Amino acid sequence: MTRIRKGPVLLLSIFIIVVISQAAMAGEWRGSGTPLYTIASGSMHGGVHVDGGHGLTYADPYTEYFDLPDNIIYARLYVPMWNYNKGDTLTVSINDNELKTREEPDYIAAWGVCCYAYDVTEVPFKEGLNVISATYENNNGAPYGIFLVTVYENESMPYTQFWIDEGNYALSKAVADGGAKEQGEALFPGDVKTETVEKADLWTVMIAGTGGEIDELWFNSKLLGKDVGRAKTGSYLDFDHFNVTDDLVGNNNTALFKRGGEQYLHPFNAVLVIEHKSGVEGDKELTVYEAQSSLMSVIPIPVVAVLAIAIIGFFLIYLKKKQERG
Amino acid sequence: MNYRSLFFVFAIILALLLPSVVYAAGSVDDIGITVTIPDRKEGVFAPDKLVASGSEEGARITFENRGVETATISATIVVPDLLPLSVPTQELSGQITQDGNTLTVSPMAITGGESAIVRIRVKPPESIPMKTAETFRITATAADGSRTEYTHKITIIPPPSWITYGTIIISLLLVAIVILAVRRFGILEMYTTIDLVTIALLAALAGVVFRWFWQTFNDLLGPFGGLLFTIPVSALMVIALHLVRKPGTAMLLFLVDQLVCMVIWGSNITVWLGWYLLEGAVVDAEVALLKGNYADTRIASMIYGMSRGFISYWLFYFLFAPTAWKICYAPWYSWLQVGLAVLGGLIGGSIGYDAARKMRSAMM
Repeated sequence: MTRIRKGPVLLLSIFIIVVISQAAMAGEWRGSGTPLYTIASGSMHGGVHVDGGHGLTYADPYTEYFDLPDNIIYARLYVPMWNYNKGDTLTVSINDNELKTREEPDYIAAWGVCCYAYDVTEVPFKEGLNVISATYENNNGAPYGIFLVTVYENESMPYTQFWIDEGNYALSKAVADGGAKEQGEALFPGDVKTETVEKADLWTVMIAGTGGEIDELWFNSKLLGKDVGRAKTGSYLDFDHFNVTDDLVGNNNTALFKRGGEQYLHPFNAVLVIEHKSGVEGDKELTVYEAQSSLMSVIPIPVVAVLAIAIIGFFLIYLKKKQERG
Repeated sequence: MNYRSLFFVFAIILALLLPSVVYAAGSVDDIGITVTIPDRKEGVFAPDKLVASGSEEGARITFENRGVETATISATIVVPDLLPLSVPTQELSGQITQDGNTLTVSPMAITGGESAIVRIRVKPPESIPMKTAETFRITATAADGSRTEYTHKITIIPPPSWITYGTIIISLLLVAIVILAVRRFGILEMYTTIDLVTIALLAALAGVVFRWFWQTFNDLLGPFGGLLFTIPVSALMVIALHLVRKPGTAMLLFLVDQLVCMVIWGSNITVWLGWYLLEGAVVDAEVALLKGNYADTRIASMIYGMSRGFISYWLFYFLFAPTAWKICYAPWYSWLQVGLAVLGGLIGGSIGYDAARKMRSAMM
């Protein structure tokens, strides 16, 4: 009799231990992720090339072509990916150079929406056409796209300032991570001499936007667009460019992603490039900041709470049964 | 030895062969043309089907030289007007010119046994009145003037405007009917506090614990990952039916489940509530048809689990995915998933029956 009663308790304990220990290894709920922050900024005579695409297709390898300029002084590569789990791998090849196979991504949020970020400044890009391919092992997952930001020097070009922001912030109404996340901002810190600005461009990358669920994208006090996240660049992907010349402020320019009616919206990147008028001179500056990579694996509090309540409930039933049996 | 006759025969053979070699090198006879749309992982997604108002899709036009000599061709690709066209950066970027929805690719030198691939991107129309067939027309012309034409038909489905609106209307109607029925027959008053607590607890287990468990571990089982959700949900549904024993229990369970999911995981159920309730409605109808069999027999429990699995997955793959996600899964893949859901329902129903009987005997 005692053996029979101990059985379910033992089974339940094993189940909980298995669940908890597995979760610590491969738990998929990753919280709200990493708010966007500046990974690199600087200035030079030259320009910044931002390009990429093209949505979730489950193609393997996933390939994207880039038409690049010469004299690249800094390059950052991004592979946003759906459904990361421990044990997944990603191998990126740039032309004939295979980068070291990665296992853990840099940024991860919600149910495994993640991003692998690479500093590829040292990779020998060609002037003209370059091919980047991603080969991956990921059950049920795949890349959302491949994006490349290259900063290049050209003394004959205008003086240019730039900020490259990256992260992966899950804006959602889910309370599993302690409450809804309504908005996220990308700050471009520092001063800008607005009177000498010829042109300012903003590029953004967002994942999981849905058409008809109205989000908002702001640059300082200017509304750049509503329902910007609507998977227009491919499945689940929005890659946008805005001319923000008239909306610059003297310091700390900011892009603001507002979730609005979106169920989930993941801002991944914001790149601001300011081109000054001809005649403006400046030194080359390049600052690369420390990456705020985070890999968080958590069991959401509601899961623990419901499990605890259920266990208490079943325990009470068990006690009642025990009492009845005398 | 007189070799003259031998040379003569050899000369005739050479003369006969030579034109064909020249012909193969300069004509399009050996060029095979294929169009892959959408350019996604093959097998899982339905080929040659686009969903109106869906996101931009890739397409791949492959020119394969099945001969042994290098063929130099130029090609014209005419994309249906209904599909706005863009051309991404690619290997042939320098040879591609675009004029509206017509691409010219020239020249393309394709060595024997190799292929040249032109990648394009098309945006399905926002709305179309009905299922529409459209044609890609591709012409390849060789230097000698020989040409081949290839047409590739695709279907743009469905008219999401009326399906979407119809879905919303049916959803709202179903919700309205439920509310009216609840008021008219005082159904909620039939439920005791213990019933409601039981339903809330089981719904929370399904919507919070097992949804998290499934999302977390479904990769471990590959294509069978769905079983991690269908088995426990079917089991919990059968437990709810057996313990609560009131009409509408399954619907109430799934309603609370969806409300819990909305709060905890941020799921969007506003439009789809009716469809989420449908799986419960079908099970409740079956309970009535089986004359109030609240999962009192193993067979009935398995039927309820199977029905729930079939309805929910069939709705997802054949209605929800194309309508809400604008994705058409390949029929074999969809039916495999529906089959797995039915299997999960059968197993879950059986497990639920055993668990429910033990719990009921404890509670009684």
